[in-house]
Amino acid sequence: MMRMLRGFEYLRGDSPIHRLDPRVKILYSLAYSSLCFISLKATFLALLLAVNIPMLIIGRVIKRWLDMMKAATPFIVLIFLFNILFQRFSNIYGAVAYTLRFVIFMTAFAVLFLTTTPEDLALVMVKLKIPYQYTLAFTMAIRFVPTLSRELQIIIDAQRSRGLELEKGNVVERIRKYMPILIPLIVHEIRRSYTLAEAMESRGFGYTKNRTYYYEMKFTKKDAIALLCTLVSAIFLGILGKMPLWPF
Amino acid sequence: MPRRDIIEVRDLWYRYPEAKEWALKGINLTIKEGELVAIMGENGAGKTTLVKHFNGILKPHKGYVKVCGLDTKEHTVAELARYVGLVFQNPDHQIFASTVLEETMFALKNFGWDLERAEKRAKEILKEMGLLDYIDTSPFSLSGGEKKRLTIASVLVYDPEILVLDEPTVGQDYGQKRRLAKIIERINSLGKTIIVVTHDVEFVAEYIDHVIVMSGGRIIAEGEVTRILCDENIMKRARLLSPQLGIVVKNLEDYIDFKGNFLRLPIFVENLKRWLENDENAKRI
Amino acid sequence: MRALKIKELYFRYVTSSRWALRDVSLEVDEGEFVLITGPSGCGKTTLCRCINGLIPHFYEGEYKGEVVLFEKIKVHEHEPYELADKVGMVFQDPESQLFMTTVEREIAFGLENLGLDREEMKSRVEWVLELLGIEHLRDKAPYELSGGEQQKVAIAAVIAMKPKILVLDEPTANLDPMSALDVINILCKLREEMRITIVIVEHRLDMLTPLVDRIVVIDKGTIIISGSPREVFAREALRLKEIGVEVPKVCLAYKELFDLAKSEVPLTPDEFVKVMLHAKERYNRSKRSLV
Repeated sequence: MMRMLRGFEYLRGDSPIHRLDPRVKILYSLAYSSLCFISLKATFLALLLAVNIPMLIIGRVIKRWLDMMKAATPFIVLIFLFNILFQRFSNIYGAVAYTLRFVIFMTAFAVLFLTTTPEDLALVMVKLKIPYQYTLAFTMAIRFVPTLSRELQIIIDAQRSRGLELEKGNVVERIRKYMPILIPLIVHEIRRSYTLAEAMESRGFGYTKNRTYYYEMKFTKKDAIALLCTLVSAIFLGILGKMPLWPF
Repeated sequence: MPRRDIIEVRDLWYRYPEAKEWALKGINLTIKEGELVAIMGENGAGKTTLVKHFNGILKPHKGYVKVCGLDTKEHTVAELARYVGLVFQNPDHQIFASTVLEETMFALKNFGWDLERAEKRAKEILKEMGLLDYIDTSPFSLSGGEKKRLTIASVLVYDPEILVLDEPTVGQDYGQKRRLAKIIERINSLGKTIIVVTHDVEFVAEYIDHVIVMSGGRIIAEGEVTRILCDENIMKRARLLSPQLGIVVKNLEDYIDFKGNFLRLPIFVENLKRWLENDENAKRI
Repeated sequence: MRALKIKELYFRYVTSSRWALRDVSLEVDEGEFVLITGPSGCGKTTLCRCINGLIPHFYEGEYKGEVVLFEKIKVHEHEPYELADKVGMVFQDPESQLFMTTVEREIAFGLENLGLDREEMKSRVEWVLELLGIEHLRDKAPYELSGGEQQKVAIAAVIAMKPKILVLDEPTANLDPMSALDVINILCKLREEMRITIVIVEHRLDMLTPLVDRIVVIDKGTIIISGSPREVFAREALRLKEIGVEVPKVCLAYKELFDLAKSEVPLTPDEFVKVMLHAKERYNRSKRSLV
């Protein structure tokens, strides 16, 4: 399950896709994931999926995507079976279609998230005039993930050192055993949030309503071309999908 | 009656998951029952990684660790924890109960003690630590120093043979450190083995005699505190600073032959008095 | 000019029944380097919070007296964020004062808050990275840094805002000796190059004693001792030891050897060695003259 989520985690790199303006990539993900609702023909959807693959290759993130797909296989199979049942075994291609939709959705957004830093996403949020505190909450959450996971491990070690056995017991007992782990973690993080707030105020957060920004997003000619290509191809595929070309 | 080896580490190699470097590189170490020893080094030298092997939280990749004769690879943490009490650095990483009494009894409950006996024992240890007044209060409301004593109490409560303290002096004022040293001395005098992991050179110089120095995942020195903490090369490699009295002794080594544990103030002063007044320990140049 | 003037300050946290600070008066000159110390719980952190406005705005309670900066700014009349470019504060836990995903962004954070334009921000970021010798850490994430590096970044992020007063609350508490020394050397450098006023709260006194202009000791909320390091240790070494304040060992050794209350107490091992050699010479001479 965790491995599947890694398909949405930023992967450091310097490919042409990495260098694209995040806004273009967001549009790409939105466009291509909405395209899968245009038709329920498995062949068309297979084409739609295939179109995404070059993006992953150019972005040099194809391996991570494959890992994600491998980890997602149980889900994919589950969706397929569920759909077969739902359609009462009549239309196997329908089930394939629904399954493909799921995969395309994940893939289109993987292209975005694998090649875009959380900071760039935050910058987009700022450009969209979302109030800065939300953007800040977003970046800070990401910044603290490694710290939190390290502290969680320390807490687990400390409680195990006092004899806590997490592996033993039935479901109810095991859940109760997590209390000595969750409580220190939650209390510690709540306390930390106060310290963070103090430190932020001490560094002038709130000084002026007109906050400036160190980084800027430059929309270059390459981005404009990429945007154009995305829109044109999306429209083209949309029209193609609607035409009665697809057998099943 | 020779003392037995209570901790045996042979050719221990350990690497954290997803790490490229080895955190511990071929550690060889023997600690005898009843010893009071400090494991020193800068942050990242591997001290905490090493002591986590003593109660089985970490298992060796190569080599072995034997505690009270038990091979840690063949026992769970819960089993080993009965022999080794490991007190972590930050009390906030373990305090969770609604009362101080409950917090102290946690380990005993995990070990299957019956409640009556557990409560009695917990109250005993809290009294020794000067925390009896707080039995029914929330541990979260205690001061920093009190929380520290509570975490030690919650481990001492089940009377482990070996007590390991991970950076117990961080954030403590001098008076608190003195109190901590008294607790350590008292427990050690009862025959318990105590290991203090720290980078606090002054604390070690003042209260501990035997020292193991680590750097880059290896043990680079072991022995008497007077020899090791005054050795420039060892201190430099370990990225530690010699204690003040040690620096003085080094700078006066051409003039005075210091005797005894001269890192302890009274002995240091005694050595100097003798030199000043009647050249007793002067070096013949 | 007095950079900082604290007059008859009293403060009681809203959750407590006793005064955290009682009748505290303190004056700090521009460019002075003051060390504040005392046993745990004495009020040192509370005092820091009063200097940059966290008290009374962030921490509520009963507040009497006043804290004035540069003889014109009354701290209790301003929110902490308004004072951020006048008083910079560095906290004890490095992890809890770094919020951004890279060092460069962290330094820029305060500057963005001040609303500076991009040119100015860029130049300040470069300046502060060089000043603290951390250019190589520019793109690193906080969790990739050691404790000492994290504190240096925290100091850089605060200094970039060009405050005239720097307050540090136990900045070396979680650091090993070399990292602590590193941070303290940076403070000395800042003091030399920026003529900044520094107020530091610490337990570990050995490293700082020879470097500061004044030591102020707080116990149970009041200032009990204040003076130059030599004065303080010459007069009060034993009293300090009793209340739980760490006195450099060479000072204690000196007091044991020489009963007279000399005012030239050594603060470092080197000074102590010199004193001992002198004393030995004098002793030998006096012995010879007797014979």
